[in-house]
Amino acid sequence: MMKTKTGKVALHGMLITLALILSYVESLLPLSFAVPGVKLGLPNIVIVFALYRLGAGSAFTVSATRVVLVSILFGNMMSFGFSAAGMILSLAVMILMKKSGKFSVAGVSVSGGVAHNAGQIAAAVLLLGTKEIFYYLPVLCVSGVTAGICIGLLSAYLIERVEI
Amino acid sequence: MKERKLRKNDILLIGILLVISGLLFFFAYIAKDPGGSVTISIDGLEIMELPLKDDIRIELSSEHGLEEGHRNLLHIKDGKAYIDEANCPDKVCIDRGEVCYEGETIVCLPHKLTVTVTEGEKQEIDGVSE
Repeated sequence: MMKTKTGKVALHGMLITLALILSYVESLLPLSFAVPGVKLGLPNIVIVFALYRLGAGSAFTVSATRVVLVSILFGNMMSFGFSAAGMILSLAVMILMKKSGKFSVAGVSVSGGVAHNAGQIAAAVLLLGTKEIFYYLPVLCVSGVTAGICIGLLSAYLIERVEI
Repeated sequence: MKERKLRKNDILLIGILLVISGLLFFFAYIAKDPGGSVTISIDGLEIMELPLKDDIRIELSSEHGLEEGHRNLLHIKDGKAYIDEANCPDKVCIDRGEVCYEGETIVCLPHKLTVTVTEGEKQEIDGVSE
């Protein structure tokens, strides 16, 4: 499927759709009751998969398109800012961690999860101008690690098994 | 495939991140404990303690121990204390904005005035232990 350009476009389209659906599924799970921003990061399964199987460029295409589409469908300009900041930082960290070659998929996914939350908090501080949000950082760090391990192990399995 | 299993580095990374979170929790807890009252001191002398839960507007003047002519208007609103009017030359006390966490202080140096958030009696539980 990856041999032709059309195949490549189709594959990316499918991955974006999958990431989008996972974003929606995630929005149905009310995990953010105590601290806003706590989430599983289900779309990250697709991003990590793309990063390992298709490369950094594809991972960027998929996650950037997902962020834009999610903001159009469910969000607003403010949420776009948060998502974009989290996405860019998360992906940058994951690419670097993968390049270092010292970590498994779970390690890469964990750092991505934590970076995503850190990016969102940084955006919130910049956009809202309140420092109190840093109060959430430790909670989001722990939740990012936990979710990152789960997502990483799941992604590792898919990276190994799924044929494209 | 070697990517599947957690490696030593991964465990290390997770450990470090959890330790950092622990430290952040700790500091956030220390730094961000909401206070129960504010203590007003003039020239190092405690003159009164006001609970943060009651909204109040108080004009500090010579009758509280400030020098003749000095004036600071202290507000307590929604659990936060701030000075919004003062005739000191630098207005640093006004610029300080709202304080509500334990240890936060408003200082008006020219008037030798400090307003510090203290533990006070926060909730019923703390009240019982007195």
